Amino acid sequence: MITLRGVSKSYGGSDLAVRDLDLVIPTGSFMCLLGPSGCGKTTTLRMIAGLEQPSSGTIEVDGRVLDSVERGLYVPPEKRRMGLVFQNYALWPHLTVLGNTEFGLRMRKVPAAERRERAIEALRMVRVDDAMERYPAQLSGGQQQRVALARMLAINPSVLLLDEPLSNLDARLRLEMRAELKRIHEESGTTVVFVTHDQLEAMTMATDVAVMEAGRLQQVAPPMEMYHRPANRFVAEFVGSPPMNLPSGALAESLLRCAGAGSGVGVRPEALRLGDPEPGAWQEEAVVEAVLPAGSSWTVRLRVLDGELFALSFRELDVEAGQKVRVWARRGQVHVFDAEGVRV
Amino acid sequence: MFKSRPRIRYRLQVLRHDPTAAMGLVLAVLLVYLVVAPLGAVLSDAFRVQFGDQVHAGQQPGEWTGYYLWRVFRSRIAELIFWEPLLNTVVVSLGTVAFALLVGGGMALLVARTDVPGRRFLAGALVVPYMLPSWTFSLAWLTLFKNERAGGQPGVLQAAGVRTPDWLAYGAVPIIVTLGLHYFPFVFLLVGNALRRIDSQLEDSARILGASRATVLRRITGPLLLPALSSAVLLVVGRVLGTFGTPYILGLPADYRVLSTGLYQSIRDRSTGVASVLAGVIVIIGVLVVLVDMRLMREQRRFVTVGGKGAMDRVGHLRRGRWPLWSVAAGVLILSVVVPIMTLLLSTVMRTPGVWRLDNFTLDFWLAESLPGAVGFPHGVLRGGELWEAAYNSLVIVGLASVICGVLGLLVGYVVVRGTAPRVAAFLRQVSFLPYLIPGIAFAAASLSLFAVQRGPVPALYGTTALLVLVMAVTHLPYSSRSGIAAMTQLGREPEEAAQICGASWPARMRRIVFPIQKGALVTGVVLPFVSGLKELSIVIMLTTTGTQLLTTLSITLVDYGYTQLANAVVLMIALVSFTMTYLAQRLTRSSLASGLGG
Repeated sequence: MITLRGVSKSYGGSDLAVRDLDLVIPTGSFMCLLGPSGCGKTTTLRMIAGLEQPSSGTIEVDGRVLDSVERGLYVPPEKRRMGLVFQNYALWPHLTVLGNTEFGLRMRKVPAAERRERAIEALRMVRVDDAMERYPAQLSGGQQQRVALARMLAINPSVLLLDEPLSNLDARLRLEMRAELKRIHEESGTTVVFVTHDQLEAMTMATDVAVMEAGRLQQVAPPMEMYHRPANRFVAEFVGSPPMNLPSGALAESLLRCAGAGSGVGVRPEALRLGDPEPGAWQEEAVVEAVLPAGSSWTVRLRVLDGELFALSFRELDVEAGQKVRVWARRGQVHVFDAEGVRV
Repeated sequence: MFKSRPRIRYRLQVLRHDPTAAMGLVLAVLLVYLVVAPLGAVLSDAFRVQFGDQVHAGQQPGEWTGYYLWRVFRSRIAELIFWEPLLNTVVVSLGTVAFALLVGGGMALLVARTDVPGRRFLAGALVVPYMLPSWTFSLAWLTLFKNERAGGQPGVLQAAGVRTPDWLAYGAVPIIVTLGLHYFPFVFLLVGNALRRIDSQLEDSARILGASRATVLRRITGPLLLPALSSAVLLVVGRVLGTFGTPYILGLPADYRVLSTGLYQSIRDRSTGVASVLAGVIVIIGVLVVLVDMRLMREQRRFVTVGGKGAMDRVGHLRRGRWPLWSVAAGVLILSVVVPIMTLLLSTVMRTPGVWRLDNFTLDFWLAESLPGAVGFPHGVLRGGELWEAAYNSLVIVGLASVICGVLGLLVGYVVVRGTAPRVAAFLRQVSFLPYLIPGIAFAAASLSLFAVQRGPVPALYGTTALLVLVMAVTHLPYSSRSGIAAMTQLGREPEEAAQICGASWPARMRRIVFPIQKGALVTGVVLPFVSGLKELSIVIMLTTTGTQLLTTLSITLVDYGYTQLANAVVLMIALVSFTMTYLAQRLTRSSLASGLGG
């Protein structure tokens, strides 16, 4: 279990990169730190790894204090027994794949024969054991990524940290690696902390998601719960694709009249339906502005009152631009926010 | 208060495990001592009464005084020791710049923008003059044009019965031409690079809007080249300011003095106060020149964007002018490489210059066991111990300096990129660049001020190898620290962090990750200073004594004796070594001379 208590990080300016972070990451979980770039998620990860030092606060793993600014305790990264996969992989160009993978074991003074065996095992796990004698420059992006992972798996870390490891891969490889990472997590049982700005990645892989913005933790929850019950406007907008409709003006008032009192309102595109409404649902007259078919789904841009809404359907829609339709949504699927943006 | 104590303990714990910050501090202190302290010492010497000057200054030694300022700028001899050399320096600088611009700029245009035959060959060959020691040309000049004003062997023309006038043999004209021949590759490279880097779309747009090729050159390309041109001009001025060999060889016989030779003279005369003022002036001019250049470089970056794709045909077709222009380029090559080298070579195998009889040819100057008449060096250069000893000294001193330089440069790069101590890193970046602002000869004078006497625990280093090594390492530091920073930046800190995560301690990371990966960069950081250090004269001439003769100073000593053939032979050896090393270094490090231009 990783525990962060009151962790803040400042880079000297008045702004804090991370402010007063309290986070518990249970053993064996796959925790995703999600947020837009510059929100402090990578800094948090690097502080857990020990590569950066908090300005205040405490970081513990399984009761062992790694950082405590207030008590003057510090464990350097090389003694934390963690693994970290970098965004650009950071493979050592002068060592072969096997050399890269063995390095951590060499540092732990593991005898040569066992070292080799364990390295090969790790490479087999990520399925690059056929390229052991090659140098990183001779590998494809996907292979490099796997070696970077094997290098860390070889030392059997209690915690595996991943810093946007999939962002440099093409779409197809990314999909494949998502499944791989999930499999490896389940096989090894290691606690994984994964940093990403891609909410789809977070949704598909994580057991828990922590959303951050501007150095602050916004919400921690399992992915589906976060999706259905976002804590505030920011989370609601950031999680989900296409993003939640967050209208204002007369359209917002119309939604609020149906869903309850509040100062802001949001409804996910897939919660909007066209056609005859169920009784008690929110409904309004709409004009279709554009239809965007994408093979498996259809997105429609609607003009409603003084605003516009995106609706998403997974069945073919028989509408065309300029057509008048009725748009509706179940009451329970309309999210209401108070003046601070907190979900009511 | 009690709250902050654990925080400090926490910081100390972090520092204990990552020595980068501590290393940065040590480096910073070291560089302040080696770079900033000499400048302080020379400034203080300029304003304090030196031993032996009590009577003139009317003050006790060590007291603060304006005496030397008065002596250099206002006294009766000020004209002689400062104003005239200053004027001469300006004349030589401007003349050299004009010469280099004309030849270098013209050749750049020809090679980059026309279909002159053999462009690839010319692009490489026209850089060769810069690989030769700068005073090679002046010795060749002297061999050709020397008249009876100076002793020793007569010049080729004089031997043929032509009396060369003084203005052609010595002084401004030959200095300008020989320095121009050495420095035009500077302009050639800078302008050539700029020509290649100009976004071709800028020129294409003008063509599409109806401008002729000539109009484009005049109204688009020309103005875009301006920053590169001014940068080249200032670089050449900065170089000429600190150059010693050429004005010494060609100026001295006619009492034609520039600031650098004046500084040398004052040091040899032991007028430390005056020398300090002169060094200060050279430093100030040098700093100004580079600061102006840096400003212009910033403009240039704003100006010239990296080229786009597929240009229209940018190569001007010379048609009937192809071969005539080729012969102009070939002429430049012949005059700047073939003629000087052949002149020197022939002079070393002929007893009397210009006499083409078989019995006039000899290998004595290379091989003879004894040379009657040459008392100071009574045998061929390859005989006796002098050449080999000087070569050994050069190798050891320059080699040591280069290794120190390369390692320091990489360490500076390491501290800068690791970023654990941003302020120390920024300071290191600046202070390691500082020697770039200061002409070498002035820096050598400054180092003499600091190290000539014992100060605290540091013994007097004048005349020692250690001083030569230190000064040479420091003056080349800007180049190696720049390449060190570039190499470390390119690598980034992640590979080392990955090793750290894997459990590697700091020494293990340095030994197994950082140094192995940076092997190539380290070699570059050592080889480039080595190549330029081998032909370095301005710095070492101030610091060597008879005990520590280098190849370069040996050739000057022979010039002083008036042993033309022997001096030429030694310079040929330096030119050969220097050219071979530069060529090999470029092959080895795959760096082009353009990137190491400073060196």
